Amino acid sequence: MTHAGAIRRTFADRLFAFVVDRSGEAGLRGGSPLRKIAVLLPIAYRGGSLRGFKTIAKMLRKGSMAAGEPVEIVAAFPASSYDERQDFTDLTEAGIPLRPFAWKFLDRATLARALGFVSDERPALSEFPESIVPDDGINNLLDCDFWLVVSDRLRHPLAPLRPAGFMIYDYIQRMRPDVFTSGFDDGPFVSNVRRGEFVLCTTPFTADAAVAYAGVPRSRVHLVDMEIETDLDDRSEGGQVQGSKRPYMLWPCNSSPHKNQLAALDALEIYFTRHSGALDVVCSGANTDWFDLRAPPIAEHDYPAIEAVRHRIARSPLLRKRVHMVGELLEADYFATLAGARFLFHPALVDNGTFAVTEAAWFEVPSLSHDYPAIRWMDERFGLALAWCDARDPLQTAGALAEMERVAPLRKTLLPSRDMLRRHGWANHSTEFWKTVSGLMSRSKRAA
Amino acid sequence: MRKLGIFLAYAPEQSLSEHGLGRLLAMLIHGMKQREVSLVLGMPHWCEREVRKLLSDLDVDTLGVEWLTTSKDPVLLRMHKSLLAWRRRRRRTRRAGFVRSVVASVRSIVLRIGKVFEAGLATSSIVLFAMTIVAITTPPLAIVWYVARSEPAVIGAAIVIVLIGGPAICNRRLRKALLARLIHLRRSAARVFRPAREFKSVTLAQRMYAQMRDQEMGRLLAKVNRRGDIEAWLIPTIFWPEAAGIKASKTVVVPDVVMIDAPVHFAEHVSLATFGDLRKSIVGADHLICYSEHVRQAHLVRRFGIEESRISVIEHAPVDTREPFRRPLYCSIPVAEASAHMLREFFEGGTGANQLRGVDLADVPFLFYASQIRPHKNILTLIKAYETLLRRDLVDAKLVLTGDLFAPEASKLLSYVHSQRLQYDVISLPRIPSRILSALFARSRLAVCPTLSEGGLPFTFTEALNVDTPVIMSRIPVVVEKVTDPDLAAAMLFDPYDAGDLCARMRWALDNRQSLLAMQRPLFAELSKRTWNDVASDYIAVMSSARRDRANA
Repeated sequence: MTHAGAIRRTFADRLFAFVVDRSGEAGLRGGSPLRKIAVLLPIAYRGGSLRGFKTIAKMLRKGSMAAGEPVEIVAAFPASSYDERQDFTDLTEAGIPLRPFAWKFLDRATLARALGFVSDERPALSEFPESIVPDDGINNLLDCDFWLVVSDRLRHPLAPLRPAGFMIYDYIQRMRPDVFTSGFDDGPFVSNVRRGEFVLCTTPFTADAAVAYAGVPRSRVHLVDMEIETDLDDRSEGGQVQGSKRPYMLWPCNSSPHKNQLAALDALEIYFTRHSGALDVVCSGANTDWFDLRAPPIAEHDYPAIEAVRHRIARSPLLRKRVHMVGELLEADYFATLAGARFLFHPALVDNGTFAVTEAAWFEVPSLSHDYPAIRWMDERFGLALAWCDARDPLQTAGALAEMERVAPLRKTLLPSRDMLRRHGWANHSTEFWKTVSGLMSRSKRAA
Repeated sequence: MRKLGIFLAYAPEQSLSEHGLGRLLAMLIHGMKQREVSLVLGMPHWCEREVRKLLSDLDVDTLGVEWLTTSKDPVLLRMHKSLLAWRRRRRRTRRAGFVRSVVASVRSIVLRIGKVFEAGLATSSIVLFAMTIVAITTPPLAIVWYVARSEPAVIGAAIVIVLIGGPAICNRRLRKALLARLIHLRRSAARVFRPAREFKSVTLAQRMYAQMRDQEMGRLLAKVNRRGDIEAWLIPTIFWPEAAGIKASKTVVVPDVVMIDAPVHFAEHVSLATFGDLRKSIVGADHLICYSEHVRQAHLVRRFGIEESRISVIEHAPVDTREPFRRPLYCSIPVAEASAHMLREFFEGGTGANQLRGVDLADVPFLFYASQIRPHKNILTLIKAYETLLRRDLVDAKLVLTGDLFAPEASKLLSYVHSQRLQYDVISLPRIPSRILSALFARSRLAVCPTLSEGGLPFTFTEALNVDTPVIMSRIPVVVEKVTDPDLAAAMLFDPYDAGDLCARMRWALDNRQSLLAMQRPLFAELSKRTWNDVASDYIAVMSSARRDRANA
């Protein structure tokens, strides 16, 4: 066991004893020592990770209540990065308090003192020359018994003041190193994960990468169900179609190169020229407005990948005219735009799968996707009847786009029904999720 | 008559009136005297004056109390006191006027001569102008000529200084470095004139103080241990590990060990050595007293492994905030009117003028939190909740704090207040006299206590209810221990980690002020049955029991 592990175990043991002794209610609570859990988003994500963060918080809350072990869940996220009313309405409605924070740095001596106040252990802190702790302006999230961190994006060691677990969605950098700027070292990311009590993944591919790339012992990597959201109708109310008045396909994207934008643009140009493609393209997602040539050049445009996409679009009058970069839309507008699309085009090289295809199925919109393991796994899990194309072959992809334009109404009939999708709704699996996660959180305490 | 001792070891020149501990001590002394226990106060000579002043301020009769102190202060401390006294005298003399009037006269003459020269230079007469030039340049030239003749070395030195110093003064970076050095030297020298308690940042002074304290405590302990007639000693805080050296039975009061609850905050200011001192105090005691079951279990049993049988929980009695309103002049008018008078009279002195800007605090609604500024007091959450109340809910009220927002340790809070432009609504009134504290409690619409951790039920509850002001408090173990009625708890408690919950509770309490007050009165009446004489009796009983246990062991 590492020294950091020893700290956590000692601390966890003390915490467990403390909470059980203090509450005297362990029997009533199914033996769970947990009273308050922080679900913590380390950086200001949008898109899938933000959605995952919120879903995890809601599942823990609902699952613990259903299991008769109600714990308080706190949603912690970077301060000043979100519109709390707009972005987290679902959390507040679920009774989950919000806790914005900023990272606070602790030098080794300060960390040693903080640990010394709560325990008589004197651990070696060689891995913690400078560590970070969430500063919520109150008590550094220390009112929570456990920190569940959504993603590994911690650039410094997380101070071992509370036991922490990680939800990891992907290790894209392993396959696409250009998602990071040149020279960036993800060492701190994986070190933190290795020190964690456990790692949760939603696909076998990411779980394997956690073992093979991040070096987490397999015994600490756990697969949990990938669940979907089923309240999309409510959230789409009042939304307006954005981007195109002509018939269109929707391309969910972001500025990261793993979304395979260049190959997608090549394929679209061929689709417009050789196949006389009739559909326009509405491209939506975080930072996709940077691709719009009308956007003023700002520092972020210096990213080589973004510059390359802008350059590619600039070379083609057809792409400039028929691909509409609308940026990140309001949720209701996005769903309205999705519902109005002929089909969804999902080009990507590698990731953990994307919920855009399940959302499309919900709105009865068929999807054409590049073929890679995680998305194929999603297709099988949710029965999405995806159409496939080759991520590295624009010619084939262009043909598939033309084919999709033609057969989209037919493919609609292959889509799963809403009842089938509802079975995968997060609310239906929250008890199971709670059981797994609380078991992992508590197991580490009792093992000490 | 039985003899009990109270051991005190405050630092030199430490003001006790700012510390809650001083108030508790005063009440204990008062209570013990009522029980006909002969009392001995043991302390270093350096804090005797402050303790006497505190007891006198609080009208505690010290007749019959024996003062067991070291004979005199250490030489170094006496020198420092003399230095401060000299400085005060010098300032007074300056103010007194003779020197000032001479300086003013000289200044006036110089100004007049200057005006004559200005007139001469502005004239249209060439003769008058030439005479003025001669008059201006002759004296310095004459001096230079005289010095050059009699002391050529001086002129040589001046030339060298100009040649070397000139470039330095012209060079911006050199000039800045030189100035910074001079400022640093000046500040270092000025430190000598600060009170000894402010020497914390000077390493040498710290070392000297540690030495001085060691020696002084050694002398005090020798005196204490020679007194076999004193049955048992009470040490009212854990910050004096030297008390472990007392040979007689000793009972240590542990208000709390707050760094266990907020380790990151305190890690920035408290060393592990200091924490070790606290442990030494706790472990070295025959018996421990704390104010709540929470501190007994969470801090003492679990963190330090102390046996439960060695710890007694003795709760406080209420603080009497009505006392100022029973004094002459005020006793014949209603509390509301009396408190308004008190505040108006007090603020005429200019306190808080920068923030109040002429606002009559007796005439505007305000929320009130009486507390020093410490990380675990959770004042930032209170300010954020207040901001929402003011700006989202449009509730017209100020927030009055007794913590010093302008102190260095409050810089983060002050920065937030300024960034949100709240400095004219979040009012800081530090170091106020106890009658003004009572008046503020009485005039406030609502008292708020957002603390994350306390040793016992915060005094705020009884302080506010005593003058008919309702109070809302954070839902923390020491409060939940006392507020057991579920309806009352739902009405007056909030989650201190949730500014939204605090804001909602403030709003509800302001809208339902009288209902809340009515709900809180039974608990207040229950708590008010306990007096400080009862507390003193409990302390005496525990000390006696500890002495017996020790003798039996």
